[in-house]
Amino acid sequence: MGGQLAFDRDAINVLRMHLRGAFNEIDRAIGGDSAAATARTRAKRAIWALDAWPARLADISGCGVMYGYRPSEPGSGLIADAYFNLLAGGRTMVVDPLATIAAMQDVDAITRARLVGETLRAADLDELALAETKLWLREQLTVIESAPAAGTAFMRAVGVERFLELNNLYVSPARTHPLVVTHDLMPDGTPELLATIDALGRVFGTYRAANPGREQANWNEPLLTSMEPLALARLVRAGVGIDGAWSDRDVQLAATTALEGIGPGFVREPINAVAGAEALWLLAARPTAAQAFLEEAERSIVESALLHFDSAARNAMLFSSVDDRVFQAGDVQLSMQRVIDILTSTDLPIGRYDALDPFRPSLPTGIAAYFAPFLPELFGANDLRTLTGESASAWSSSTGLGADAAQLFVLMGHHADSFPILSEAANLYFGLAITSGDVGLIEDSGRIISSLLEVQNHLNLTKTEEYHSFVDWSRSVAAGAGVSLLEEVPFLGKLVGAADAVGIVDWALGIDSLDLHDEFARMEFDQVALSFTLGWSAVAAWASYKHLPMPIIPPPPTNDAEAGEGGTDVIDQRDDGIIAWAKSRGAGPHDIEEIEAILRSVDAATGGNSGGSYLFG
Amino acid sequence: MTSPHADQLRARALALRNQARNLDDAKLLSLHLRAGIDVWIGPTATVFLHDLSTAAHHVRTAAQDLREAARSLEQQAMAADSAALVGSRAGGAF
Repeated sequence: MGGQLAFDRDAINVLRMHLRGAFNEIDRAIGGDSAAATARTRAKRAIWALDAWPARLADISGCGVMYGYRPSEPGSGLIADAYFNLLAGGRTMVVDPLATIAAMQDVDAITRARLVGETLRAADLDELALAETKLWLREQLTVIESAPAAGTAFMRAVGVERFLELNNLYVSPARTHPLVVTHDLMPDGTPELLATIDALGRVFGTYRAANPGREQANWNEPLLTSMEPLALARLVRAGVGIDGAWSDRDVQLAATTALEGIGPGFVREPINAVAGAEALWLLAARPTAAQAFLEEAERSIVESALLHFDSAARNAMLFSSVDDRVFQAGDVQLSMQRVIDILTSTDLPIGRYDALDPFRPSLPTGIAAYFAPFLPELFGANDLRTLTGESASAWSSSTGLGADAAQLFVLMGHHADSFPILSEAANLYFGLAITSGDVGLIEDSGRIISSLLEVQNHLNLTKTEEYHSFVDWSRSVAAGAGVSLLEEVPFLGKLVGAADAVGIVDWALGIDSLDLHDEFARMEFDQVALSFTLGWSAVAAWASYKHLPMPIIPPPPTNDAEAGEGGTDVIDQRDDGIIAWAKSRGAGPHDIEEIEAILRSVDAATGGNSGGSYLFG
Repeated sequence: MTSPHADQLRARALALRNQARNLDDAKLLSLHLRAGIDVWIGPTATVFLHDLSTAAHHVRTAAQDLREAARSLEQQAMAADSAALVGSRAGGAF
């Protein structure tokens, strides 16, 4: 029982008062005579020997557990007897702050919580850092967590200052021994040093939820000004799921403060890497906080959040900021624009933690899923949003993101998972547009797809399976919906014109695989116009591929001209015109061969060959 | 007959002795009477009494230092008086 302390509160207060008086007396006792120098030094040593005691005595007398107890009452000077006598009488005892912390038995949860709080407040920090103390505290917190009222008793007893010191203390090993962040895991995989902070965070959250208003607010300032970034982010995160514990604004402030506390020059330190990830996970838990953070935080902080920490945490934060259960598309414009602005204007980081190819700047994997749902808005095609049953979003800048978005897709495109995600989203809108039969929406969705294809070409990426499925699927949708392909010629021209020459031929040949004879006949399709448009579009794409100036598409030949001059003449004239243009632009014999091959493929696909034996023959 | 300098030294010695007496009567030296088992019981109380004992030792030693310093000043005063007396006699011979 050597760890217990019994005391008389009033007598302790009197002792403290006399101690203060004794200090003053000693301090004034010796004058300034040079012959008394040695004596003055001795007197100061006397004060130094006791100068810690006024504060300790104040802590002891401030303990609420032993109120009214007189040590002489138990009838024995032995502390063991006193302890048991007190417990038998329904009283409890405070753990001696200078002795080893002992387990407390036979006390209710609220009393235990208060005892633990008072013990923590009175103890030396060094003692709290001991492994056995941490183990003891975790056991106590488990009990305290089981009773909500105990959390309040604990928090009030431990006080703001010591509570914050305690959390900082528990992450401090990570500063000197970074591996403790990833080693010494608990059975559930949580780092040992964070397990106690988690428990403290849950108790703290319960306390905050039970004590809203001024008492809760009193904690905010010291919390944001006195905590290590890792401790702050982890503590708040541990209680963020407790209703009423943390407002969205609280979460935003805590995460921002933690990220600010890391400092731009120290993001690579393991403890800060973990702290940054914790801050991002914290934001991810609150969509409104995540979005507000992206909109409002200082640019360097957002940049750091986007580029310097664990990509899983970063992505979770981004996804949260656009959570469609909370936001409509129109709500996310500001935050997403800021993300795009930062990502497209930043020298992307290169380092062992990011695993980026230093010769090929890129965005970390997974970010495509953040942008994909907003392709209509990113490409200024807001009306496409109505196809999913939502109201058209209100992104004010209909064209401003075009170039940035393309650049962004280029940056993302180095990751294999990006384009399947983006293509799938584009396909969704294309399919809905085709089904709607709205030519304007079809063109809008085609513009998105063609932009993605351009990016793929830019990156020299092999066409994904999604691309091919898009081609097949869109044709089947078009056929199944009975949409007039004739009406879509302008769209098809744009779409195919954006692909590379090989893609064009694939496309054109692919069309032949449909039963287009019947389709075109039923639609009274102007085959010559289609062939003409596709031919020019294909060559335009080829020219782009060859970095030649794009040809200007001349007006299509009229039916009168076709009738008057015969199909063969028209086709020949058309081919001649294209080839003449190519020659005027400096195309050599090899280029001309390629152009002729393209035109023959288009002709074969559309039936627009010079032999005259095709659709409407 | 005493010299002005010797008077000054004796005054300083007297002050130091007074200060030593004040330390002898310092409250700190009796503070242990207010920190017994009727006030508190436990390791903290023991540590306090130990610290108090250390402080009291320093106070008593300081008082001794003051008295030692006072004695030194008084001896200097006597020496000054002797020197003054010798000086006055020597002056009379001339």
